[in-house]
Amino acid sequence: MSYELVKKWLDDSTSVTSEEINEASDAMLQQMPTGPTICLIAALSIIKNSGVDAVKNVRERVQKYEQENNS
Amino acid sequence: MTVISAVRGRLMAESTFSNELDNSEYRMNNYPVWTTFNGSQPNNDNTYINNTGTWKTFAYWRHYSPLYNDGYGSYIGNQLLDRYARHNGTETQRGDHALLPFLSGSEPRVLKIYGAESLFSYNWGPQNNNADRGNGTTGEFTNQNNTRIIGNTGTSQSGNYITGAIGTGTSMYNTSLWSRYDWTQIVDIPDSATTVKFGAQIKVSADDKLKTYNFAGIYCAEDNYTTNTRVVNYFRVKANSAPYSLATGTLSSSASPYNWSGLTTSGATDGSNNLKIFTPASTVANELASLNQNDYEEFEKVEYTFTPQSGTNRKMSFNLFFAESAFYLAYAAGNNTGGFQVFDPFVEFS
Repeated sequence: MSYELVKKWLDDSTSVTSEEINEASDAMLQQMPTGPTICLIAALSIIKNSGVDAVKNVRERVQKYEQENNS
Repeated sequence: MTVISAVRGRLMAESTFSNELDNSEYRMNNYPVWTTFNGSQPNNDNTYINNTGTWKTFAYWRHYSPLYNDGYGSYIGNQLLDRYARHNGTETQRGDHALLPFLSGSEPRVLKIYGAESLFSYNWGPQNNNADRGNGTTGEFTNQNNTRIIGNTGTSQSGNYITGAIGTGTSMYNTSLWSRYDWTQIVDIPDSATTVKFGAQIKVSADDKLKTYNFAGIYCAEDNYTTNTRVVNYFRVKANSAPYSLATGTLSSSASPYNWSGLTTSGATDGSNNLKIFTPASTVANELASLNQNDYEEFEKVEYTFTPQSGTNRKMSFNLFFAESAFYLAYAAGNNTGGFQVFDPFVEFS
């Protein structure tokens, strides 16, 4: 869910609400703290803290998530 | 006949019964992740419980990293492990320590710290791809833009950086430069103390060895704010094949600011109750031991002693650290950096 939400934000940042970001962040803390989980927490944190100024930064974390999730 | 053990596993005991550190076993159910402000302090450590996620810390421990990854928040790389060893060991090996969930921290835990493999080049805060960042600033300060990205340097090495020559043209693609990430506590040194003993139970797992140019360990720092001198006593764990040595002894005025900068030991804060940063104008680095990681695939207690600086009302900082090669950060291969595991670090005075 969090991954899809971040991807959706990357496609159109206005399509995602801050409540959805907060809920997704809380949900990630129920997961085990593995590398992929921490990548998504990072992406959500950057969205909350930096917003659209940090699209490349978020994209980098998503790519890292995809790399670790597929390894 | 096969004998099957019925016990849960092997429990690690405390390192000492006279520890000057607080929350040395990472209880209180806090779990900082990814980023927070350097030197971030809770209003009350004693009641700082159940804090998990970004922009958090451990009760009594202060975060320091010069690697900015979320605006003015800087990189945290840690996981927490069960202090019980699992049953996958052998007669001579303890077994692994399982990764714990985020919300599992009322019991003692093992801390594992590791690197980033990225300079986070798109961060909008301080830029990390800047080897001489902070040049010209020494002493205590609050402006995060002046934090040195380089926290340790090597001795001269063929084809690489030579101590004392960091400048605007220095590349981060360099195997003789490191960024270092710390978990810090400030400790009062009793006036009567003439010896400091510090250590921990440490491990580098066989399946998560430090990369060749990464190292980790514990350092104690004492500062003189009149001369902006920092005296550091440390031990480190490294790859067995590590082909470098660190700058040690009394360092030159050009090398000093790039060695062992970190949080202040004075307790001074900025306007937001975060501890100030300290970059030494003069550094004295005493390497007490350089340990080979292959000798620590199982938890071993290590301890070292040193003589503190003379005086009264003295303070020192105790720091768990992970030093990551600038080359690895710049190259950003995405490999595992290796992880340094610590249980119940301690300080004693006598």
